[in-house]
Amino acid sequence: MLCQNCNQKPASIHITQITNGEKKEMHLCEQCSVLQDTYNISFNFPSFIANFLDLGDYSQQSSEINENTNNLYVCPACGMDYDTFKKYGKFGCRVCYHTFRSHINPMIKKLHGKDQHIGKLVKHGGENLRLERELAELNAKLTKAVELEEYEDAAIYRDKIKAIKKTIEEQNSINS
Amino acid sequence: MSTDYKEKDIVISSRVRLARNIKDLPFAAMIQEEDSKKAIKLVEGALNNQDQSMPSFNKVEVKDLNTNEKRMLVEKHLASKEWSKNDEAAVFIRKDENVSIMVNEEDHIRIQCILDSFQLRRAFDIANEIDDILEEKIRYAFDDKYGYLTACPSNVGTGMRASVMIHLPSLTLGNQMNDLIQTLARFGITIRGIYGEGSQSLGDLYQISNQITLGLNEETIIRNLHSVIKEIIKRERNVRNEMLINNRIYLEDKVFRALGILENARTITVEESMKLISLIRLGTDLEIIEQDISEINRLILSIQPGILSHTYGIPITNKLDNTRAEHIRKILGKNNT
Repeated sequence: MLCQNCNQKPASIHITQITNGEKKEMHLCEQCSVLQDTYNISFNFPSFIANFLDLGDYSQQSSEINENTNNLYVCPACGMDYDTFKKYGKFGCRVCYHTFRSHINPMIKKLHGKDQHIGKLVKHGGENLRLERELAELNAKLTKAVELEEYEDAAIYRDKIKAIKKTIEEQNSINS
Repeated sequence: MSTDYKEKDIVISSRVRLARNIKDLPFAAMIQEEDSKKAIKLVEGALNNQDQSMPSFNKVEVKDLNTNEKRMLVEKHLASKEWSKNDEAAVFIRKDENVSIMVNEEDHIRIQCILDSFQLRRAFDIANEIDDILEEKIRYAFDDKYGYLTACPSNVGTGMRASVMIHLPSLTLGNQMNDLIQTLARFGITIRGIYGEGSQSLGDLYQISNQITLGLNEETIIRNLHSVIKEIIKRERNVRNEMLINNRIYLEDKVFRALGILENARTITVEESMKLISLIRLGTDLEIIEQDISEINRLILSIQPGILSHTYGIPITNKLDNTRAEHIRKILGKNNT
């Protein structure tokens, strides 16, 4: 068997990776395997992503996309079209996430199990998400205060919740 | 001293990588030369802006490197092979070489922190700190739903990949790796090994990392991975002890033969060296032989072609196998020339 990378030397290193139950194999010569960042083998992720994109859940949407790709699903910011994204599995810019949102969401959910970020927030931006997290926290505190019959605290939380809701509404009207 | 250090015989290193993109620049697939240069300048500017008490960074650009120098950075895990293919890419390497920031790899910015032994949490804290420094000057591509936006959807969310390099000779010898790989896949954790002939991995070294980057926060990802690694360490130790009790002679024979070859070989490939060094590591941990584990870890790195050819100033040819053998003899303290 020849090395998958250089197609010149015999493959002496055989690598197996199992991701979410899916088995991938690579066959490399020693030189290419060393170049592969010995411990950081990158598998062919585009085809991996393409597999996810071809999975069943939204097959109806997919056929619709194929018909209209060239006209409708082109990112206005970077010019990448959906077919190109599908082929390489890489976005062209941040706006692609919006352009292809309805079609990529099932794939992202399949890939990660969830589709809502709950980790670190940027310092500049992400205000709505920050406020929504604060809101969820205050709601939990309010429920607890009511349970414990600590009505003075509950009133404070209630007012804070009102203020945050107002801010979110204001921001949404600015953004829309 | 952190308790994590106790695992240094089994865990070689811990690494955390954060993928970030610059808000107003196209991603790698669509970027033009001018914007690539802009990305490098932005990172450079943000690093120059940092607190003077922090260690400084050296800038290395792909276009200034020869093939060997690129290979060496890859072997040291300071940059990736993909990065080295792009002439408009740069890497900022902190002087202690624990932190590197690749610019214009798959994402505009990849902050990486690698530490010795089992120190995932600390590696995250350091990478996170660098992330905050960069954000003083750089606006990131971020979305309320998807978090940090990355070129590949497999990294979106936290943009974080945490991993440990772990040495599992006994689980490998005991044919338990396939079972382990399949079990962990169900928890969104990946094991990557380099398998040589006879389906054994190169040096019995594996990289274990989180697969999921969205829908969990950074702390949870680190904590989950930490617990899983602890469990794997426990399994590896149990098998090591069982082997020692039931098959001491077999183990001793394997370890001493490995030592014999390494101490006497006149020419040796990376693959063979890694297999034998793995046994030396195991023998050291089980006190069959006496070697310094940190020295062994350095040996694993220093026998790689790029680093070795740089150290001895010779090109990568078949003769490098002779130099490798000589180098190993010298390090193991028996310079039988």
